[in-house]
Amino acid sequence: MKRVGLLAWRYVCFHRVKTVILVISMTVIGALPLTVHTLVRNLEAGLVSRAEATPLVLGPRGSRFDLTLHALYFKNRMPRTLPMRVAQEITESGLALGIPLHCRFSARDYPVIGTSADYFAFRQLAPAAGTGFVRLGDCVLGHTVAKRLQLAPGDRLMSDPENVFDIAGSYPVNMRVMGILPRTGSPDDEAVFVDTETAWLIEGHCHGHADAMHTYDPEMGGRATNGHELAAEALKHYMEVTDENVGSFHFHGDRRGFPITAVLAVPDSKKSETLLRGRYQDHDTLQALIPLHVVEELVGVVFRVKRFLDANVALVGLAVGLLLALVILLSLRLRRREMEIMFMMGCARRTTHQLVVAELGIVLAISLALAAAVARAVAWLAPSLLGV
Amino acid sequence: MIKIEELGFGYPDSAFRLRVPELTIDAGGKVAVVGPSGCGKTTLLRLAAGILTPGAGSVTLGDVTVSDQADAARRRFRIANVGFVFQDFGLLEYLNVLENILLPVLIHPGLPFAAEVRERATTLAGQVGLGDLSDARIDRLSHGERQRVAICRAMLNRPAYLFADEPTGNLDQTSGEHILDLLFGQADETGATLVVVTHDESVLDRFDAVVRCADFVEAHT
Repeated sequence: MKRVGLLAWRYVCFHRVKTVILVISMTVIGALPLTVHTLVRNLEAGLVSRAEATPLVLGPRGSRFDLTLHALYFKNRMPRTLPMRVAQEITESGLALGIPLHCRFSARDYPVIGTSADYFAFRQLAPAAGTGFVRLGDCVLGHTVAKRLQLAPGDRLMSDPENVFDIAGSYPVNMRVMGILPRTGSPDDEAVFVDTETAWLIEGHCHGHADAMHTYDPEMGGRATNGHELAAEALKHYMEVTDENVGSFHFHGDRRGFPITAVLAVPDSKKSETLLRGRYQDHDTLQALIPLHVVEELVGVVFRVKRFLDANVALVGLAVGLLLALVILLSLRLRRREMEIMFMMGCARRTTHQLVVAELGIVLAISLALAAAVARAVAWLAPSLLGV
Repeated sequence: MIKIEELGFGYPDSAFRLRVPELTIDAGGKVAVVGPSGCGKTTLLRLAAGILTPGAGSVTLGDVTVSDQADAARRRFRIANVGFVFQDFGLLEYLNVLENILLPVLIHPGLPFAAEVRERATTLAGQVGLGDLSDARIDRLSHGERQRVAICRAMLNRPAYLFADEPTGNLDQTSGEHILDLLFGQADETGATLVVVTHDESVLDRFDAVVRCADFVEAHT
């Protein structure tokens, strides 16, 4: 078999163009279903594991998919908010721990999640470097955020300006990085965590009486002289909480009425969960969801789409398979003289068949290896390319 | 020794028939098969080599009646005892010169693929002036060089019977002489019986005997 393998290898190497065309065709046809399968499985695993770890989610009435994706994966900006008191009332009811989530802003395109220290305990997250947030204006970074932005405890991270044309709006906050979370393989890796009060600071519910800081942005083309001589558009205005000015920051109004976008409820028992769900079942403005149920529904839709794709790929595969069979038959016809020569020399028919099978096997093996590599690469790149 | 007795052969769907009442070629003998185109020279050569099975009569190589053997046994006999130089050389374009010479052992798992076999292939290539072309691709070789590769391949297993189908065809007289020198030299070295189909009447005096194939044609197409 080793000798036949050598002959087969020489043949596929000699007919490079034919081999490459066959390999590409078979790789594509193999990679498509493999990639879809890998992506769907990864998506399902990621969605389900996160959903399983989150017993109950509360949020404004509306799309249950939007609320689930928002509360679990920090996707979708919720059009409506709910007051902070909802989270506090859940905790005060004794039925569950209410963890507020405020996800309306971003920093360098990563979502800024305003929450309480309970979130870290609930997700079993302890900083791998540095500490948790200590005071207003502090943040803790997910593993990926820190890695991609090359930030470490002690560095600063500016929140993204909400609306650069809104001169009455709030300034971005230059946050102090206090800690870096370990890698979890979950959406927490790609989030910037702050205290809800810092989130409200970004939103403009809190302000200090110190002047807004400003800095010269050379990219905007202004003159880099000092103070008032700088063109206004060359300035970046932002707020920064420091040990010196932290005392001057204050809130106006009742913080229990300040907005959050969702609440993660962690009931202490099944009974409490049922009671809590019952409490919000017919609520006018709020809904309580079991994330796993929503995610299973979502995954069901994904699998229906996958089945449709699989059917398409099967049909295309059949067409390609028939074309390949035609190519192989024509090739065998062209090689009839070669086979005849071997036979006349004393070669067994079985050996010539083995030769053809070995050639196909080599092409198939290369194609499968490439298809698997493509599928792995796509699965690896998909989260960053597709944002899933 | 090659002995053909009362041989009858015809192709299906063809009126052509060959009939050889008796033909004996002594061991180590050198025989030329001549005749006009279409008189069955190649067919006779393939019958004598045990590639084709006669419809009647017998073909005996040494003490083996190959015409009585089953297909698998004849194949085994051929690979071990028969060297065949095809008219179109029958070289595989995807193998280099040395690999083409080694083809008999590559396609037959029963034959040893030891270092000495590779050494013999290299020696044969050197003997016919292809020593520097061992790694060359077949499509880079001249007509004469390809002919020499085909001869080396036929000689690899030191066959007792060497058949060559028009080895001097399409060659000028000097090249043709050189190819015949090679065949005679290789046959002398191993003591092989040599049967050569040729159109070239000028070389017939080099052979021990000449077989006129036209004498055996019973019916033409």
